[in-house]
Amino acid sequence: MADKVYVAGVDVGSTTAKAVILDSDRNIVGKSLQDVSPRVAEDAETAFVKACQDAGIDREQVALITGTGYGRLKVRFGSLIVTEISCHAKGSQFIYPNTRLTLDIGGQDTKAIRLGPNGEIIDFSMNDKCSAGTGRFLDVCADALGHSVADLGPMSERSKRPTKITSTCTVFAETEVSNQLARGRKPEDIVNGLHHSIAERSISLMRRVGIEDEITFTGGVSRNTGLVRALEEKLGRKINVSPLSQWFGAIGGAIFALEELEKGNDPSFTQLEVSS
Amino acid sequence: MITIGMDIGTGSTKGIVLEDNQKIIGRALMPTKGSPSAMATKVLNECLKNAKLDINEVDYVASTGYGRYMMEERKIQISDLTTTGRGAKFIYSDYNPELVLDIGTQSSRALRIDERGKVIQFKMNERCAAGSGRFIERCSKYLTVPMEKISDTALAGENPQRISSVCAVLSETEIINHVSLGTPVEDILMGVFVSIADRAGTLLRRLKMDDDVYLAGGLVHMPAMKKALESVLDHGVHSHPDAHYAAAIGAARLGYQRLMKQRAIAQ
Repeated sequence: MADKVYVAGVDVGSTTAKAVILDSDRNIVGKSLQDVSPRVAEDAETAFVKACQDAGIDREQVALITGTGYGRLKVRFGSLIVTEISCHAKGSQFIYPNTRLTLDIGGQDTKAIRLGPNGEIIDFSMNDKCSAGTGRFLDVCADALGHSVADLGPMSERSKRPTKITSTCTVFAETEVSNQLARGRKPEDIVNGLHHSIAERSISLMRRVGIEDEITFTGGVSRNTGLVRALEEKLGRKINVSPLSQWFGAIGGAIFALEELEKGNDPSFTQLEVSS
Repeated sequence: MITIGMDIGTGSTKGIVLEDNQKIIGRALMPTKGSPSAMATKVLNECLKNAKLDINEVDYVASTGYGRYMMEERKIQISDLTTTGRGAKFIYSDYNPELVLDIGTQSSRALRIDERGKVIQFKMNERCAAGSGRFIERCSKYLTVPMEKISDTALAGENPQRISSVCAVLSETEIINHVSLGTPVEDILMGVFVSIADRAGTLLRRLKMDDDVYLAGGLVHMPAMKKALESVLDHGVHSHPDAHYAAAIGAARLGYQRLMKQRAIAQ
């Protein structure tokens, strides 16, 4: 057992850091989730250490570590650096092999990535300039409603008619939410309306790369069941959402590390920037 | 002849009492809270009181701004773009204003006007909070600097801190990081004004900015805003104590025109 080979993927996002440990048979043996503070490098380290603990292994047993995500350059203990676009695509196809389009909604950005049958990235489109439609948008609106983001999914399931939300901007949507509450609209209808508005924005981003058959939804916001429902309603089809969807970037990173090892490369002493 | 112009904005409601199309004899300004129609009535009464007039002595009331359709006392409602252009032309009549910049609570607009104050071209942003007064209001909240001190505090900033995010919400994270790194709040605030000025500059350049800029709207009475605009624009920036009332003044003047026309037809 001692000579078993492990790899890791550490995905440092704007809001949370995620780490995954994979064994050489591609089994996920450990994972962790860590909130991100202004000291990003420390948070990346903590996420990695926690994932090793979860897997019950020593960090020395990890042969290769990939850093990915917005804070990937802060994964200083890693040897491979891969963009989160490549990693989310890789992770999606690892869990759902027929994925042709990955929608990744994180704390501060949204990406639509179109994939070929062998996992190659054909096209992608992203919004990282504006917080509308991101996790941040939901945080701000949940605050205005006096709820936590975790409540939003179950709340919107009680709604029969979504309240139309016309503001795109997070700041203006917050005001609109308060105004709608003052007008006596039900909180669940407002939440449902917010989900519909995010779904619409996400779909227009996906259209830019071309909506393909099998869609996989990744990133922290994919845990929101109300948004999943709104997306499925508007798309007229089911989409893949895994309980691990938040870790898909980290999983993809770990797969990249394993592939490097399998190719016989050991970039342990030099940092490689892989672009695919 | 007494005409009143009421500008019911997202941030504040302004009222102007105009005598014979020339002389401002009363005014009032209050933050917009609750129903816009009740707010309009309140400000209307306030500016009547200020002018020492009774509503029966008023010949015409024109409304403008986002809540213009909700004012029951109005005889006409006019788009705020139109009234801002006319109002700016009036308050800056000593100059020859061609470019007007109007920064409000939820929008920013750049207008090109003709010699009568008629809008011939405009660019606006009302979909994003980054270039508007709301951004400042939010900063005031989480940096705990009251709105009435925000401009003076910013003016004390010696090294304005560049804000790289173009989104008001994403900027918050950036600002909080600056605070935790020990950047003086004065420098951060001046940076916020500069970032709003940058966005206004983009709007003005889309109008092929080639001349001085004349300010209107709620944010521009803040000296820090004027200073920030001067630092990013290549042309002169003019402000006026009545700049906040530009749209209300424009409404009162257009109301007067309309009244004159009606009377001419009646004769």
